[in-house]
Amino acid sequence: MRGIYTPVTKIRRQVFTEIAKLAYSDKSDHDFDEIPYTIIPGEIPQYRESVFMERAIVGERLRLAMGMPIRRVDEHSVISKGLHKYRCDEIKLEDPLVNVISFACAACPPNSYMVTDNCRNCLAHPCTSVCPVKAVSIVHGRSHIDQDKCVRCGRCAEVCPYNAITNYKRPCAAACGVDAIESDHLGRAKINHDVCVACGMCIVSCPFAAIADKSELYQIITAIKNNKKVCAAIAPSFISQFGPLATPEKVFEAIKALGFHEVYEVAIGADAGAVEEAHHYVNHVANGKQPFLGTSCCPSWAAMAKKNFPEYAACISESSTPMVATGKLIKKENEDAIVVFIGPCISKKLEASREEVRPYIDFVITFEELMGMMVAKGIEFDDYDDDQKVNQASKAGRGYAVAGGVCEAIAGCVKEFYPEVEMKIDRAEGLSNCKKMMMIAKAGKRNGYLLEGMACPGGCVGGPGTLTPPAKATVAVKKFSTSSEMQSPTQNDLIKGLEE
Amino acid sequence: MKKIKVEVCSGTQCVMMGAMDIVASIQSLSSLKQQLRLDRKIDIVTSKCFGLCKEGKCGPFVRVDGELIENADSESVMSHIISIVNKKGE
Repeated sequence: MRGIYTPVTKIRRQVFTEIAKLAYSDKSDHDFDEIPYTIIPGEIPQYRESVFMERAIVGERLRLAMGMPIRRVDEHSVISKGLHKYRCDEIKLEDPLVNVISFACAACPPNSYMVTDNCRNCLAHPCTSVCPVKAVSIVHGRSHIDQDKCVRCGRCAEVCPYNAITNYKRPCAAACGVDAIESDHLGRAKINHDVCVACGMCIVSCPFAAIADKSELYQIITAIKNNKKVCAAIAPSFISQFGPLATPEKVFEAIKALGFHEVYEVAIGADAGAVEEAHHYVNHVANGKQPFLGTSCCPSWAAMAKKNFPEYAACISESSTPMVATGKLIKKENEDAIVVFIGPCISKKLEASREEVRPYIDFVITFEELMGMMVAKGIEFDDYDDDQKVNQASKAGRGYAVAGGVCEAIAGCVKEFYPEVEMKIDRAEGLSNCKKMMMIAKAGKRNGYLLEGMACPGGCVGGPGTLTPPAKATVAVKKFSTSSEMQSPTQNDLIKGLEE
Repeated sequence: MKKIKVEVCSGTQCVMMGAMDIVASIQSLSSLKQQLRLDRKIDIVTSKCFGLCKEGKCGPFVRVDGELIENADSESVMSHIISIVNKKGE
């Protein structure tokens, strides 16, 4: 479903646009209560069984997009309840970041094998022969699986000549690499927040649009309106996200037209990180002082590794993530700057709420949320000049957006600084694969390695907050990074300001 | 054979509402040439904002051989193109 524009995508983006419009206007709390009627007009439902249900769900999405908690279902309240507290220019997102809107959830049954209408009641019925627990039998002229006995080994599905047996999975749980999706008393999805690392894959995988994260876009617009010095730090994956007319240069100009004081490439911070991690690798891992080094840039990967493998927590790089390094640079260059990280990532919102990160990053929004701001403000990328070339980061730093780019950048630095050192690299995309990579490392089979973990398939270009299919974005990112005038991070003078 | 010209509005609002997905779906037709009996080339142009959203109309906007499709999606644009191809064949 990812990479296809569906009504789920549409509703999500409409919500961001309406919240941005509310922020740009001086409308009242009462107007907030009316937004569901703008998004869901008329009295005929378009998406679900009733128009009231549609509006109620949009209402919860609007609250989350304001950074507010969802309401209790068993208590009367207007959707604007508690809104005034959030109509400001500062916010610290409260837990949980990722929320299931329980009454939007279709309570899909958990992982099971089911017989479909493809079953022909064939003479061979190999499905029964291969079952190790006698769960499959022929009932009323058709294969039948006893769900109480079934151990979900999948053998019956493999042998059926008609593909009549399917593995039915909840899309949210199938997308979750850390098994954080559980069920509530009504069989609806419930997130175990002790396990969840906020990668956001469930949000973009739920076909019922029942999961959403909190947003800070209202407060960012308010900070701009209050004449604060708001600076943007845009992640390397921004290339090609905003359509064919939005060249990198035009994106920078358009962001400034939204009222941002200055725009920085987060690839600068990636350049700094690549240099730091290269030195760390050679001085601690290559000589055996530390078994391996896990990259720091993907917060979901780092959180998963630290939570699930606490004994190896010290092996995950402590160097600043590209986001934090760029935030440090912006705060150094601009007094009183308010830093907004704009990226593909939901997990960065969680990273930004950590005590040690808060001094450098004030807000985090996704590309999708930024696009909502552009639409609300009526910005056309084509109206801006692109003669001011974007030239802040090296080829290596810009490559961070694509899976494999991080270890490639670090390997390049190691080769430059320590040509005699031979590097060992492994990498994984998707949290369940990252977990497998850590298991192998735990077994002692990755000693001396640099391990790159990416929670999103494809790397950051596959993030939940993107607008362009990952394959297309990958090509565009590679083209843009190759166009950089700097081949190596060491040629980037901006990172020297970070070293002191 | 004359090409079919498809102009897709690539203004901010249309891009947010899935214009690029429409482009991808039109491109995908070329891999179904046989099944669809598609014997004409399709020329896709990603245009700058048509300006129609500012007139209160509802995007995404696509023009197929000059004919405007409002509130477009992959489904409507693909079927429109196929209907043009079939008409010529008769």
